[in-house]
Amino acid sequence: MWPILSASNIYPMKIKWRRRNNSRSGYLLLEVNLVLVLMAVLGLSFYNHFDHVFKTCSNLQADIRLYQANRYTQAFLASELSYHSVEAKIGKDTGGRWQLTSQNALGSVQMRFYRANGLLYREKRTGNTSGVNPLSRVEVQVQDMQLQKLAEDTLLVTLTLKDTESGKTKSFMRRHRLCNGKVVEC
Amino acid sequence: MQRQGCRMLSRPYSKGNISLTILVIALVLLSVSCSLLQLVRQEAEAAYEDIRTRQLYDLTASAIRASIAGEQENPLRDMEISDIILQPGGAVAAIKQTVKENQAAGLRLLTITTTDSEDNSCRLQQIRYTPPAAVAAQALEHALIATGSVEKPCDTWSALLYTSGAVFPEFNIKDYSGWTNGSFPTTATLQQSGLGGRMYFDDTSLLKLAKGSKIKGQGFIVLKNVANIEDDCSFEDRIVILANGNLTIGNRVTLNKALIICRGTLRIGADCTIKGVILVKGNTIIGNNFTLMLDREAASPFSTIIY
Repeated sequence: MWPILSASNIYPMKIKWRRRNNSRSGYLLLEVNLVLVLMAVLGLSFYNHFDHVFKTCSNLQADIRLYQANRYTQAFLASELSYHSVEAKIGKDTGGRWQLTSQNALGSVQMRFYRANGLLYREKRTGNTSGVNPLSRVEVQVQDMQLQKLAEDTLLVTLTLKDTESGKTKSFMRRHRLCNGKVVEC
Repeated sequence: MQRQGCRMLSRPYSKGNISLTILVIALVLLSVSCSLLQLVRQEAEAAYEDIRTRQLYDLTASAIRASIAGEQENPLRDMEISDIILQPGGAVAAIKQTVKENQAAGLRLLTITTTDSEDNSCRLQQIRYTPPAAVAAQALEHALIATGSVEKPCDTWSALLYTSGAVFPEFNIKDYSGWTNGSFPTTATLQQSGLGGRMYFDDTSLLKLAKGSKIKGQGFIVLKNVANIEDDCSFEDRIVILANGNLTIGNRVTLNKALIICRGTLRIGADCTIKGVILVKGNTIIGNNFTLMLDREAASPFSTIIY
């Protein structure tokens, strides 16, 4: 059954509602102020947290970039040295920078690994032709490459990499064992 | 106006708005943390995989080198070593050594496979060709051992020729098929890259070297059919050629430390230089100014690279 509405019974309800509304308005203002203060406090703590998180995030990303770049570069060296090299010559170029020359098992193929302009390059010589490929990523600079003969068939490659975005620097060492060849110092 | 502002502030969903904002912030923070965690986890997995690959390679390389080094004292046989703990990581690995031999062909294939508990594996193998004992015995004093007729223009190297009583090491060409992976390198590849220290089986007469080719690198080439080495070609490193059919060597060809075992007719052009040992069953036809030098090492066993 629907209630029968008339002007007489609707009017008192309106008055009642307005009265209640007026009495709550001050309370609401206080409530909003409290919330704003709370939000400001929360925002500040969130900002600190965010700031910390973002710093950690960028730090972590820089670290990850460096680790990935190291793996990427060392994988090329490992592939050549581990399986294909019959002789790995290590020495310094005229500028005093280390370079590695690997004589491939394929008699006419020779690889030279060298550092220039913050990148590591591989020069492949096949017969009379040669080609150069960068072996390191653009976002990470190769600041230094050190080569050390550890044993007759073992070479230690130390790469110092710098993340260009964050400026973070890290050194990575990796031992490469030649399956078919020997390391020669010259 | 004041009433309107009051109404605006007193909207019943204002509290929900704040909760929603806090929820969104929490959600953003959580997703950032999760993505960071995911990034670190992926990186850790990649690093772990890299370390594992290197561990397995080191183990396999050490095993195959130890087996090859001790081959003279202890003949190789199938064996398995299990429960090897890899550090760091603590994974359990096993090494399996398999030896495939064909004594009639003088071939031995050594395979070392290392697997870990997560089904990662590394395999290295090596083929060794040991020429029959008759080759080494005859190669002590002679560089050209021919059981057929020999046509030669002059006698400058006759002391190195052995014909009467010469023994040709018989072989079955079928014994040499199936030992190599991949196809025979093309002429262009051979000229461009050279030989890669492996065994090559040519069953379709692919070896037709162009004039003036300079082939670097070592190799063991088995030729099922006829083969032709054109004028001015040179093999600079050690090479073993096992020819089932006729072999024709052009003019001015140089072979350094070569062992040639030819069942068919061997034709050598003018002004050629061969250092090593040659064994021929069929006829041998030699051109002018042939220089032959004995190199006993050419008759020693040939080992491919570890690959």
